[in-house]
Amino acid sequence: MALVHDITNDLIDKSMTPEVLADLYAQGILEIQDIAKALSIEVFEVPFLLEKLGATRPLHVILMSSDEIAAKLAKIQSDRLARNGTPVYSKEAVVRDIVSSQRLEGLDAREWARKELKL
Amino acid sequence: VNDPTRTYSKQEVETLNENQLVLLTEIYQGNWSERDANVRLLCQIHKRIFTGVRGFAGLHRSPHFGSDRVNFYGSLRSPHKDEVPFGLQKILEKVQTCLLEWKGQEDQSNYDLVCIQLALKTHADLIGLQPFEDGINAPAEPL
Repeated sequence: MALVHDITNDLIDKSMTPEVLADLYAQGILEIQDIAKALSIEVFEVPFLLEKLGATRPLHVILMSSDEIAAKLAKIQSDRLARNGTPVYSKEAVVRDIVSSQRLEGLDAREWARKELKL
Repeated sequence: VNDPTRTYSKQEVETLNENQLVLLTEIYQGNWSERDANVRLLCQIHKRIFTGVRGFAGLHRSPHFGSDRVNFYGSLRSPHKDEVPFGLQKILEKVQTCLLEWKGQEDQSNYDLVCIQLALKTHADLIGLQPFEDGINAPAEPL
């Protein structure tokens, strides 16, 4: 799945509708970040869109092979080592965490997030 | 039927967002990185998030406070409040023990996997215990 993410720029056609993009997400071909880029929206908006369109991934798409797990862990490790194990502040990441956390509690913080990020 | 404890007014949601913004900014800036994992830390996180929203900010369920049991994810029931203090202590002791065991081993190839598994298991254990009246996701994620 990690490799899929690297080739998606070639796959995304700017005229693709949200429905088509959501279907590609459900198949594991696109990631949330790809859809945000294709639709020129913030990453935190995408889960709400996917939910609205009923796009869900079946278990066989979610499960990773041992090679995919190893590649993902290597990427996580290299990111951690690059920042010396310390967290790196980004207002976008903080706001995204809040929207995501509130969503789990059934709250919608998108309007607040848009204001906070001056979108 | 909406649970009044977990239903928030527009103003309360705004306060929750602002409280989390300040707290997470401090965490992302590394100000909380050296803290030990313990019940006090989790309660401090809860207090920071729910101050100005709920009077019980920072208080976990216990024999002296809170509902006997709380519902979560629809039909699931939490353990009794009498079990919360010991349950919380057990969960957070496991976290602290694991953190100490792995300190200085950041170069090990399975370090990240262990951290991810620890975070997921801790979050799941906290969900199962439901130590607070108003849900656990908001304080468990920063932890």
